[in-house]
Amino acid sequence: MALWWIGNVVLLVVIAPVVVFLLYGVLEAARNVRRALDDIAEVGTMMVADLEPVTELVETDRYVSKTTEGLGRYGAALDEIL
Amino acid sequence: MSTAALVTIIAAVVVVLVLAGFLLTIARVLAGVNRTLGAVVGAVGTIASKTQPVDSAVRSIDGNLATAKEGLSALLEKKVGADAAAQLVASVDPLAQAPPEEDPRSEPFAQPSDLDHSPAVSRQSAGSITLRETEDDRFEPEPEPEPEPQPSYSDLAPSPPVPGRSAPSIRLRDDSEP
Repeated sequence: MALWWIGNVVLLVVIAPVVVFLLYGVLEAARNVRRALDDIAEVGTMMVADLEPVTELVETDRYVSKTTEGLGRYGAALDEIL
Repeated sequence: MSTAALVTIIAAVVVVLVLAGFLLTIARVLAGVNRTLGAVVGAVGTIASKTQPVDSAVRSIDGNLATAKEGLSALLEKKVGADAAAQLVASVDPLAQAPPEEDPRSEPFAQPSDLDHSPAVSRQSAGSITLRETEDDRFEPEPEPEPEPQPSYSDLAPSPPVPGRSAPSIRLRDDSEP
């Protein structure tokens, strides 16, 4: 019977606090992961907004192509004139 | 039932309840992490799709501009000759007159032995890591120099032509000459 009581005391004084301590550590780590992920998601959303003008590069490419064609014609005309 | 058995049962129930409570909380936090990760993956996919045409578009623009530059250079060399063309380009292009800058890409990469490894951070979570600050990292703003007085455009007068300068003295070659 004495050993049983000792076991009860150990269970309540040692094992239960250790379990709570370990679980609290896991919970804090999970919360930190969530906070870091929230920051990453916020930055990712801002990056998507910053990349909106990138699609205009195709239009820029088209303008540059037209400009190059015009320059070629202009050069040919200059070649004839000069 | 003895008192010791009753205490054992109560203690076991308390431990199980505490375990269940913590595990449920952790599961809820991890579910939030899962949702946020889904949003992050979606944002990364959007970034990838938005940046996909950059490579081909920039290469195409580069090729078009190189073609235009080669065409204009060839025309200029054909009309005024290679030396005069180089002089003319140098006279109108400030970059051609400036001394060549060192290409930063030619800088050697830092060797792994040169890198300062941070000491291991123990018992710190991801959210509590702080950047180390050394003496060299501190930013001290330098006093700005006083701006020199700029002449207004109305004060500027065209400079008289200097005989023998490169641009006005370039003579066009006549291809019909023998």
